[in-house]
Amino acid sequence: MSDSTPFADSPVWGGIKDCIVKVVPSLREAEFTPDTRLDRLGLASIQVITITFEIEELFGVGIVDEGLDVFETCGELEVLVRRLAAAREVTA
Amino acid sequence: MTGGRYRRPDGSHRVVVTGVGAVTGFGVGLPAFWQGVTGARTAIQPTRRTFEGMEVIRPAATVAGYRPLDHFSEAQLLTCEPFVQYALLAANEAIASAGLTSADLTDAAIVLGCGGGGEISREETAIHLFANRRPRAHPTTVPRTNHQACCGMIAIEHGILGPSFVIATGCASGSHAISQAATMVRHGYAERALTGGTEANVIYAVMRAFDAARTIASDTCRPFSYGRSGLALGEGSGILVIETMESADRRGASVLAEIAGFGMSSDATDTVQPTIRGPVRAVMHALADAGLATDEIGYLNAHGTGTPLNDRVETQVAHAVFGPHAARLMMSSTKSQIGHTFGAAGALELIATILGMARGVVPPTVNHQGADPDCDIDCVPNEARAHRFDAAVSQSFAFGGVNAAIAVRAV
Repeated sequence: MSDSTPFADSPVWGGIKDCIVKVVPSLREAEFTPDTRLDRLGLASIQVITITFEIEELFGVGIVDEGLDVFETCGELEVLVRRLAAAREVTA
Repeated sequence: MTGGRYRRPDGSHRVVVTGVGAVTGFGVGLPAFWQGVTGARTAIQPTRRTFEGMEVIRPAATVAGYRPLDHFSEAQLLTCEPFVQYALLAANEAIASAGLTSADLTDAAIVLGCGGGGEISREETAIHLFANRRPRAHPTTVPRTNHQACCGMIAIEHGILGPSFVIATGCASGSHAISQAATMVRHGYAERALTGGTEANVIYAVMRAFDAARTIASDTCRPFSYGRSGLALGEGSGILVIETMESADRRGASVLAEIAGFGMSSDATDTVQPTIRGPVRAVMHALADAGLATDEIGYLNAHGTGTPLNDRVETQVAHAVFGPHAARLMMSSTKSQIGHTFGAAGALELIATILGMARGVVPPTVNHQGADPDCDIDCVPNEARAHRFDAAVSQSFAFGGVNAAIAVRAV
């Protein structure tokens, strides 16, 4: 995906949202934008950690290795996952 | 002061049951449990579990119609396995039926029995790490598998700050937990306690494990019956509110029964083969602790697994303890109705005993298809019996040769 792809159409974001909904099904109909702050979703810390785990499993990346404080918004998380996934492909 | 309404002869507190709650194969709640028991129904049915093309079908009693989101939030469910959920549901019911609120329980103790803890998550983690060869375990693995999560959840829900812990002695866990909680209330460590047991491990690996031990029935659980072939797995939770008689009177609570005595013992013989001497010792201690003579016991809720060996040995135990009175004793197995709920068994079976005593109904042994000469006791076959009794015993025996018996008395 190029940087010009709309956020909502990003396959990476689609995968991330699937992970969020897997852990918190009630967020299935929630509206997300690149500026949506993850700490405003009313999630318990264990839910955040579990969502992170699901994203790591889906994309084969290590978000926790980067530290959980490197992203605050959905857009930043999408960029981070995209970067880590690309780096993994280069390494592979 | 010794003796009398509030104190035992040794000066310790008399301990009574003022509330009960249950989750069983008959569904969530005490009414479903009691209707199933007195209706002489069984919740056991062929139950299928699978893993990647492999399948196992065995008799089991899982909680009918259970939908977690009807009772818990998504955040709660993330860290709470069914054994925790059932414990909290049963605790909530017990607290309400005792006429208590959370504010009354700040200093209460929580002592629960649980045999396996979060076996579901252990199985999933094993598949994830070893079968799927993934490098990370699920982040909720530790909180979900911990036995003590069942105590913690109840404490969190009700703001209970007293001592809380789990006793894990397999099939005897619930009876041991109630005995321990009663000890604490007797001697003033807590005025009230939530106690009982919980279990929910009807999963592929557990079915295979009990299969390998040759303990699961070929069709269903038929305790003391001709043609019995083993146990049926079960899941659920039974929770009791116990408190000092003085506390119950002070707040005008209805008393269901007195926890009159209890006894515990070890076989010290074999890990899996039951003995007579261990259980006899436990029951005799319970009767002595209660100050009850053998002929005062009207009903005995048996361990009654339905395995050929257990039921034969348990019959011999009854004869050894009760002598000629064994011929008059009614002795049934609730496991024929709700399966073997392991850590919850002692608690659910004590609840059936207490309700039967309070309501003049003897719980039956269902699925009985004819007398076995090795089990020459009155197992109340196939129908509940209208009959009043004022004292009873509930007993549990576990692998490892550990035993616990509880004697209850009408008040």
